[in-house]
Amino acid sequence: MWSTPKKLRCAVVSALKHDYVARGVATHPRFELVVVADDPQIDDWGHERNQELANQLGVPYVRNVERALAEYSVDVAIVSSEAERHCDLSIRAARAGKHVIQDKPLATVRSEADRLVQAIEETGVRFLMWNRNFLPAINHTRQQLADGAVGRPYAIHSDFYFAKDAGPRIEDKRPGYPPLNWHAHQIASHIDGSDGGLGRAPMGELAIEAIYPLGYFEVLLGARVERVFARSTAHFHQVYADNGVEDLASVTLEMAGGIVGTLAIGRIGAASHPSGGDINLKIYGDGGTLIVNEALPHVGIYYRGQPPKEPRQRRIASDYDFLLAHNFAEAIDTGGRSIMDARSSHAIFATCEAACESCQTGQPVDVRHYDV
Amino acid sequence: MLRVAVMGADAADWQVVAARVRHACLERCAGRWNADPAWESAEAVAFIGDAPLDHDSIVSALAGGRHVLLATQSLPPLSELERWFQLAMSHRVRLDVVNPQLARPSRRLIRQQIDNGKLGEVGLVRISRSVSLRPSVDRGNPAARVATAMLADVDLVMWLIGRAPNTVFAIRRRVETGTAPHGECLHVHLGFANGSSALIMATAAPPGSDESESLSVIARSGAAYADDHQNRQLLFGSGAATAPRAEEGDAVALLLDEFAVRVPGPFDPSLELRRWQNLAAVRAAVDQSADLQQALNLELD
Repeated sequence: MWSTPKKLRCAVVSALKHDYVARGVATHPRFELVVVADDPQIDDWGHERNQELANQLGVPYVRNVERALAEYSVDVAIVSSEAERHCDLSIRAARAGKHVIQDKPLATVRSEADRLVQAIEETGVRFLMWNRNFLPAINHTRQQLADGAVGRPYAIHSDFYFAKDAGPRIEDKRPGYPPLNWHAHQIASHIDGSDGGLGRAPMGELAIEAIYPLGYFEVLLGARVERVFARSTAHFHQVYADNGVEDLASVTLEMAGGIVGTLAIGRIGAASHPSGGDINLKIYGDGGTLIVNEALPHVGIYYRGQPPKEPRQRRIASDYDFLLAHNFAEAIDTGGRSIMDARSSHAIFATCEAACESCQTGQPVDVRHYDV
Repeated sequence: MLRVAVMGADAADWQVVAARVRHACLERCAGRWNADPAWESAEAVAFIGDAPLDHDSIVSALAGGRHVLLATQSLPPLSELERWFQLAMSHRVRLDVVNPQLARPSRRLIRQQIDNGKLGEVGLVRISRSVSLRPSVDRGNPAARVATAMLADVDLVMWLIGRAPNTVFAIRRRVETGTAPHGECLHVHLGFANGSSALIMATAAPPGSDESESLSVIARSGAAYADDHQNRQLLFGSGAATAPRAEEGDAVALLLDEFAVRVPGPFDPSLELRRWQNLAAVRAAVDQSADLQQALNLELD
């Protein structure tokens, strides 16, 4: 008899930030989105976003997370709330026996990050931080490193720039104008996708986006970050400057095995790249150097009247959503690790935490990992 | 036109270089000061290329009343440089010490876009450079090769950002390549008082390796990218594709022309000397930071 793998029923536990994680998961036939849920006390605009997604998916929207998890035979919770609620929602889902896929960042404070890892490990559910580790260029790089293309790596660098605008520019600020409210700005910019760190507390690009390149470092080298030196500034956008967080940062990482890493990250403005931002990797080894354009493969598309913000190079052949979901399905089936589980997510959180501290102190800072 | 004796020029492309120079008459010379008849009639002497500097010839040229151009990556100790500037002043001749990196077309184009306001204030400069070890030259001292490359790039960063750094953090690593000489990796993270930063890494690749380099400048209103993905061709055949570099040229002719144009003008070495003093201070801070594994603060002009 033909056997079909069990469908994994998913609850979208808040889509306040974005729906791309839920939609990405749904590209895999094993996963079925069956309900959208959230806490009743969130703001009305949050309920509107959740309801809109539910309508588009043709599923109910339930204003009670625990009830939704229980009544809809949910196997997996997909968490895409504002950053402050990530851990709480994920922990509640885990304690209810549900596997968890969570949007970035892992947490906004150390205590929550620790609590999340503890909950995941105590309950034994599988956890996945949504990431970009299955992009074609990253897959290819992994294979090349495994094949010994550069020998033993000793240095890894990444530029991770999002060439996106984020509201008014620093140089346009007028004297006497009030500071821009972070939360209000994020809500308003959702319409064109330029919102970054949705949350009540402001978040700089290290907290918002560094998970991606640090995820690359982790999956490519598997070397723990031990110490960091970092600098940051609000260089481009008023909302970052007004709220004391960075839109541009540089990080030096000292990693296990003597590996040196660096990260240059920022939300640098739409004018600064023709296709959304330069994202690259350079890996130096004792047998060679690998220089990777993360956007490849792509096709250049140009036409008269093309909108200025439309990417000129279009990424193709990228089914990383499917591959991530597949990786998670395998983890659930086998009880194995996902490609970015709670521990590795915590390691990235701890690295970002240390980098932020280094920006304040002006000195290198040791990374406090979960088991330290 | 200014008569310039040129030391260190590569014989293979000398004719092309000489043909491009408009403001000087050139004579390619070999040997030490006064060993070549061209020295006697020369009004100026240019030391170019990667060969170690001939300190005696430089001193003799200055003391002999010749203007001198140093356009190499092999810099002397600061104390020696300060002595040479003093000598130039006392003999009323010009001493120009230039970093050939700054004359490359890509660097000039980026600097032009900064100067004309197109890019805005620089926020972050990233340079990654891999140089090939030369066993006959570097044996026993690959660190010096990497340090020389690093210093030239620090100077480039200061030129692009327009100021000296106030923070230095450095990491040095020895890389075992399995053959002698071993490799070296030197990474420097600079901070500037206006919030700008720079990440610079220089590494020594195994002998015979292709060299790679990348420069990106992220600024308030725009960005510039001059990296291998922009500047490599593709060559297919023999099993594996390769990526030959699209060469910019070394801008020697430009350096000589610009020097010849500056010679008649006023010469105040104080600015130049301050630049090299700052560079020497950064170099010392790099070594100290790497040894102490701490970030260091600097107070430079």
